[in-house]
Amino acid sequence: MIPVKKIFDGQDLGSFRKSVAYQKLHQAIDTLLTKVEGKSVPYRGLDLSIVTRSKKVQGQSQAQRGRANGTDNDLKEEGFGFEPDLYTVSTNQTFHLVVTVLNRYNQYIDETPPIEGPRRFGNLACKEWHLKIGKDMYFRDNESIISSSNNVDEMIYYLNNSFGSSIRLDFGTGHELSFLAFMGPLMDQLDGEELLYIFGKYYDVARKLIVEYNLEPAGSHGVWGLDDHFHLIYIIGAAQFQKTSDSLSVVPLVQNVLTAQVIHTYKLTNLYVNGIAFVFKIKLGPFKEHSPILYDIHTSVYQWSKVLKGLLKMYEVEVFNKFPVVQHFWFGQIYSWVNFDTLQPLPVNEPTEDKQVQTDDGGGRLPQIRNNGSGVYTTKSNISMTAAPWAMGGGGVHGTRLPEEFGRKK
Amino acid sequence: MDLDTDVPMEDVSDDQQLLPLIGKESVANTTTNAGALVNDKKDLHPSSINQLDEWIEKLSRCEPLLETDVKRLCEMAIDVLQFEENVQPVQVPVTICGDVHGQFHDLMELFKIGGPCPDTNYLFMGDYVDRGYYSVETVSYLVCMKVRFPKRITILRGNHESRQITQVYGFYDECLRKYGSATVWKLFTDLFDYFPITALVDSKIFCLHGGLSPMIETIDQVRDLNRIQEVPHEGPMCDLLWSDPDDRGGWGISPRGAGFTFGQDISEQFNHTNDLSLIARAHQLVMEGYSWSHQESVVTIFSAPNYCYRCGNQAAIMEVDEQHNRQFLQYDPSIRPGEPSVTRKTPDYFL
Repeated sequence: MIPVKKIFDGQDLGSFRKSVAYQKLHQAIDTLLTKVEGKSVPYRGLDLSIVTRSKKVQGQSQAQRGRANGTDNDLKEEGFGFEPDLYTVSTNQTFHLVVTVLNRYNQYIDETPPIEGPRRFGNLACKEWHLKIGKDMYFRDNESIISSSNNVDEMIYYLNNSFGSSIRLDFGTGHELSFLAFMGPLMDQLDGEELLYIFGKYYDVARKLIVEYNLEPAGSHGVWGLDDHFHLIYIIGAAQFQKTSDSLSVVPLVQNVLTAQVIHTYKLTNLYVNGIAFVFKIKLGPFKEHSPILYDIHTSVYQWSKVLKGLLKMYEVEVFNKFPVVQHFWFGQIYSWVNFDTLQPLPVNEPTEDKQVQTDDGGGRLPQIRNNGSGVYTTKSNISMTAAPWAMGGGGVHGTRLPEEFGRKK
Repeated sequence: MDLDTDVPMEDVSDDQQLLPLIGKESVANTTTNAGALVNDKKDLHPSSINQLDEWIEKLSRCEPLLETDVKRLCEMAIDVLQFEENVQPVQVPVTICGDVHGQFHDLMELFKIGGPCPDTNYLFMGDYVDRGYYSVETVSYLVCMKVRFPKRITILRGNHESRQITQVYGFYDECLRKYGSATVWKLFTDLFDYFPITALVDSKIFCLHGGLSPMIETIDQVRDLNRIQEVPHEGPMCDLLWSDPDDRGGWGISPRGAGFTFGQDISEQFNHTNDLSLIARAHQLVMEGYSWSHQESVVTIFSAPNYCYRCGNQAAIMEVDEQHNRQFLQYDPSIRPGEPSVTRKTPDYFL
């Protein structure tokens, strides 16, 4: 079953919080965080080139530079010891399937160079990449590996939706959430290290897309957001740094994370530090200015448990309770639009045609415009009225509704 | 706009000079113009000038104003802006600028490159807030300059000068962090409703933030709009602040979800109908800071270098001289001073 849209305005967020989908997404986070506690991203789970600022080489795309950066030799030079690649060692078929798909998606980036010419934000070659992953049948052809599940269409939907919007050419936390949704049903079949390896591969593909095709941050709060594109990566990384009884590994002090030494040591083994390393790679200017929230965390919080709790609270408000983000999350059979307690279907407030096509204000008539010589006149009935993504909440009133987290004391 | 063209300082300091001028130049004395003059008169108090100069001095050190001062400033600004027109007439020479997005130090660089205001006339095409770290300082500074030198600087409304957009893209968060409450955000977003939405340079260059609207064929139709409101989700006012030129002809659906894309045929028709030489607009990042489209019937100007600290783009402004010669001045990010000096509160999530 291909998922369908159910969240149409801000009021639907209430239903969303009661839904099976909401419960399952939270279960997925809980499982993931428990499994990765005290674990490191395995060797080769993260690509050094993604977090390394490469020297500008004329006529070379990021992908081309990327291939020449991140080899075993590069890793050795950076002081990382050689270890066998989990991908070649592991016998877990689910793990193999997911990593193979991600590798294929990665390969498509190399095969789809950005279009030359006047550069605009969001390179159109990215649309071609989206077409390529849409046609890739590898996951579908091997669906028997992921036992019991016959929701392969739904899973592929969440997977392919987790790399940004092919229409708006942007990337945001909603896409990251979609990858979590894809992974949800697979988590029982994977251990902590395999999960970290997979998430590492996923983040590398996403960031290669962002850099290669200049994807715009979707709905970012500017410098006042945690990060332009990601949130979950910091949550997973903070969970990796939680102390467990069986982990003897040393964890860096929260206050030292922005230092070159900590970044160097942990950038390929911890997703939190890896996320910070990527920020350092793509941003120029004072860190406390372009990333004040991350900066504040590392000047005012002292325990990784507090960091993790804070990030989870923030995720709840900034992702799960943000209409602009979750309006793009669609619902199927795994993540269903069904009341978790009663198992009854939740209400759907799909706007009717009448509501969508509003009359123009001021009594003005639409001028009859011939469209590009097509002979078709633009009239009130055939013009597509704008519907800004931010305009859907609250029944179209020009209110001054404040973001919810500020109304609710957390 | 026939008034004041030869007066060297047509701003709040010209209390005494302006009064005789009203008698002399009785041209086009619509109620709007008369109203503006009455209001100019009301504000032309030397203490206001001192106050404004003090604020400008403070802001140029990148220090935000006190909340009470923002309140006074916004009241003074409403007195000026409410009498400006939907299509604000502007004289040459003028320097036309695009998005700034809270990049305060780069705005200071802009004034270095283009020449200080009021010696140089400026026209800004919106998007002063959101995304950057210094939206509060940036918009406070520009509004101060507007009130201090109302005839020397024109500030149009961009799609980010809106209550809804600023709640998503950072200005709201910034106000909350820098002032501890949303009061300053409320004051500014209420003020934004008064900003003019387009300008017409010497009847030849139509300037606006976004682009054209399928519901607007003539500039007079823009004059008929009621602009004093939140940016609507659709309709002509929305389109003027949201649309983009496109390689495809005709009107297209905008990937932004608001406004439209318009092709060369649309631009040429609009310029022909309205006897224009050029549409100048902002709204889109362009790597060289400016970019021509539609065979030089449309120009995009973007004045935020290395946008969002990472785009690596140059910024540009466009000088238009008395003979309508155009010159682009490009610039890179300013050399950053060490650290931001603003104290903020720790994010609640981590307490």
